[in-house]
Amino acid sequence: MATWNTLSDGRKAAAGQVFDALSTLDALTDFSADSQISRAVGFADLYAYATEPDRPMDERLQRALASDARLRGDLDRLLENTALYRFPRLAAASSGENDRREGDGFTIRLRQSRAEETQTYVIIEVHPGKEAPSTLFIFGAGHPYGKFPLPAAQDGVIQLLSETSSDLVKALLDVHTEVFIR
Amino acid sequence: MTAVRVYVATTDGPSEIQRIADEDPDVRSVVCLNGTSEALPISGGYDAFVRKPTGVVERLFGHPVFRMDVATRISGGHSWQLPVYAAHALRAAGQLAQRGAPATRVIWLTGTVDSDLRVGPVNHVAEKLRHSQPLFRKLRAEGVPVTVFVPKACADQIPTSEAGDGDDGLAGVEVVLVETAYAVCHNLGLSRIGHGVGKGRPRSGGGNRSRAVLTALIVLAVGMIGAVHWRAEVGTWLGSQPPTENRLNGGQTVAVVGPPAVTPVALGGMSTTVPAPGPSADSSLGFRTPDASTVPTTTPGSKSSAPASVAAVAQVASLPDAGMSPEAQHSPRLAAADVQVSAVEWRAPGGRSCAVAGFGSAGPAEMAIGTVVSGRFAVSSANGLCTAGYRAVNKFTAPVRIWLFAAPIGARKHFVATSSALETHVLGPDEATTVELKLPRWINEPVSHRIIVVATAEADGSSFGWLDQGMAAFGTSFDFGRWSDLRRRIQDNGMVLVSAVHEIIPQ
Repeated sequence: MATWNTLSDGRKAAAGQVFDALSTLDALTDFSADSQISRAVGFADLYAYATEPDRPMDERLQRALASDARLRGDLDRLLENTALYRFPRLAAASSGENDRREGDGFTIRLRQSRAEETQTYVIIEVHPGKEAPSTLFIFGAGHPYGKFPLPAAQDGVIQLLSETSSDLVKALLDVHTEVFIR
Repeated sequence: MTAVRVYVATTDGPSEIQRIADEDPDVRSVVCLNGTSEALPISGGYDAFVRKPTGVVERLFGHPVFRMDVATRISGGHSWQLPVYAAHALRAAGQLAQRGAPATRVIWLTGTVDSDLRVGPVNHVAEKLRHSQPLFRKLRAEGVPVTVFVPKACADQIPTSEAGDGDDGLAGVEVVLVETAYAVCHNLGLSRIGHGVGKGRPRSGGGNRSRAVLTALIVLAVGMIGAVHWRAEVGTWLGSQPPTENRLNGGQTVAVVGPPAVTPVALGGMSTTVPAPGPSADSSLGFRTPDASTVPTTTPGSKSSAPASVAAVAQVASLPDAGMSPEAQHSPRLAAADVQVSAVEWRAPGGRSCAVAGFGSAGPAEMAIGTVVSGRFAVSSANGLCTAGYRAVNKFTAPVRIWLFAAPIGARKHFVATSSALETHVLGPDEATTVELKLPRWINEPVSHRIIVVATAEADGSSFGWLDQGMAAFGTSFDFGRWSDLRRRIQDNGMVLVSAVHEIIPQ
């Protein structure tokens, strides 16, 4: 079965146009009150958010996702299909926290800074032969659709430094968080 | 207790190294902004500078991962290596002044450091010094001694007091030219570099064996010091400078530094150590000129003082030979000769008025004035002259970003006449851009046009906003005071500059 990653650029573009057209058609034919906000949000918006590292989660998209379950489903499927790798929710541990996620070709580790104890390193190891990701998405109950652009990999390692109290670190520690990298 | 504050020289001003701390060996070294979690883009380069086998810091100081905090952003390049090396050496000796702590001395450094601890050249030294003058003034007022360390290869980038604009920002500042990182440590009084500096960090291995090695090193070091002193005395006796620095560049890793490899001399009110003068280096300007004796400098008075047969003068500066970063040396090298500047004029045909030229078939006729070969345009007669045009052609083998500006000098606003014209383009090989200045309807006294061409082969145009704004700011009249500042920055950036004056006389 063909997956998103196996499609050529031309076929991806064609698929994007088709989804955009379908999304527009949905918006035109859906008159429910809940869809008023999301009506202006089409597949192109979701696709841009999912694939462009610098595209932020703007307020319009945020409100649309919050009010439209179908749109959230679309974004979930889009992230799943376009991601280099998806780290699923972890099996619940007693503490509910985990500082390491192992995946096929990728490892995410958290390491508290020795020099600055309020800060934590997020380290993504890219195994040989794997494409280095440019964006990290986190998706969990308390942190829907967090998106973090990643610096370039150095010798197969991508390193971020973040406050331990930040959404990124809290979400990565949370075993209920799903992580996508693309 | 000695506490030395270290500043990294940048073109945006000095950035204080606030802290260096050991990090978990399981992470990568990182440079952070002002104690925050914002990692600067040079972090990857810093990690490579630290970590063995490529890095020198772990080799010398024994720990593989550090976190360094700096006060302001350091955006890129490698000129931070020398100050970072010095900061690590001071930290190992317990003499690095941390953020907020008082300092008994301040050092300001720029330069690259290779694996043999040789200091390599960097660019924009003059600009970095200029942007640090407020800091120097403040420290001078506080009575804190300041030492500036600059790569020896960048000696011609250090402005003299003559080249300054009356600012005494470098007065009282000790300037030291260095070829090796050892020389910095020697100047700082750090007699040993490496494991165990200051803190006596324990090393693994047998104690007796370590002591034997240490004893051998001390004997070797004492021998070297004796030899160096002997060479220095012989050199003094012979009236020549002993090549002590070359001896220290011999690749030995013994952490003993000999006597100063450079000689302090007085220069324009500041204490300076200088190497032998390089060929054709024009230190008063901080850049090289093709032939300073034959290329006159344009001044506001040049229009009136120039002889009638010499109506235009040009000032040409090319990229400096020294001071180029290693990366820049691999780039195509743009020279002033690669930008051909010419002038054309449009005259009303058949002795008609310019007012009617352009109607029907009475279009203005184009005539070439010539190129700025040796910086000279021919004089133009104002009779029947409607418009003067100035053209820059890229004769380089690669695309060149060109700013072409022309304006009347000191002219009042005249009816019809163009106030100024500016074109900025990236030109491919043999492509041209032109600006045109319409002449006043009536010319009863000489009119001079100032033509400025600035060019660079740098592909990234995002860093030249200052030049765009500076050129556009001339607006309706050419301001020599403003131009003086802008010209200095253009030269500091190693850009090609062609500046000419074209005189048009009534007849």
